[in-house]
Amino acid sequence: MTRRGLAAGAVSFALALGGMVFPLVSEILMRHVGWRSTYVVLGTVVLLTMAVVGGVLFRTRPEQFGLAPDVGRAGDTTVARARSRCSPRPEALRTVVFWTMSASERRLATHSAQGCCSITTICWAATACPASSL
Amino acid sequence: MTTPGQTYGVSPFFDPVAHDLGLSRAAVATAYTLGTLAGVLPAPFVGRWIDRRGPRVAGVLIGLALAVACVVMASSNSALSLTIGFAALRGAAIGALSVGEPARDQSVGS
Repeated sequence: MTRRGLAAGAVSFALALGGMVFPLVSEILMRHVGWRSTYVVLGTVVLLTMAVVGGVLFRTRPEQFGLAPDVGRAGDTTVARARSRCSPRPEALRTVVFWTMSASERRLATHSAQGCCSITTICWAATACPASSL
Repeated sequence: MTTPGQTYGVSPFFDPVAHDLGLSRAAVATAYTLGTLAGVLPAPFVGRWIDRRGPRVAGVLIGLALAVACVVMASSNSALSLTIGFAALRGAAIGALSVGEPARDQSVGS
């Protein structure tokens, strides 16, 4: 895949923009049509963007376009090297990196409810995932 | 487009929902927490499903699920149905769509 940094930046920008705009739009809509109709409007927007636009624009595999998912072009030897660093589940579960990254994902210090769910999910994932998937 | 299921997307609805359903903010927050917990439990299995189906099909179906979750929320009329609505909303947005984002990020912008 090429221009990954640009793509990741665009996604981060859009996520932040959406987080800033949608609560305001929701509040304005609620004042005029009530919270139930606002949820119907949001559901319609999700349907149009995710189901319709996503169905047209999403691509399943970069390899279909002659690109490798991680680095460079398909067939790049660095892809094989990157894949060789993947750890099986028992090995991953013994690393500090896995637990630190999993715990920090949902910002345990600031969102206690999400943090509780995050810990549950991590433990759940550790037992539910197949040995080769982590 | 996970905003309706994100914390900052749900929070504007807290007071109107609590007032309309005659619930306290604590009761709505409890429904939200329980719904979040129930919604994220299937995430590991959803992740494996996304790996099998690819981000395109999974993204469209999860988007449909999130839209349905919004309708479920719109029709909530008790603490129980609100909890179910939150579970659907949080499950589709946090437990599914967020799981699919890394796969999607690999596949767009190429």
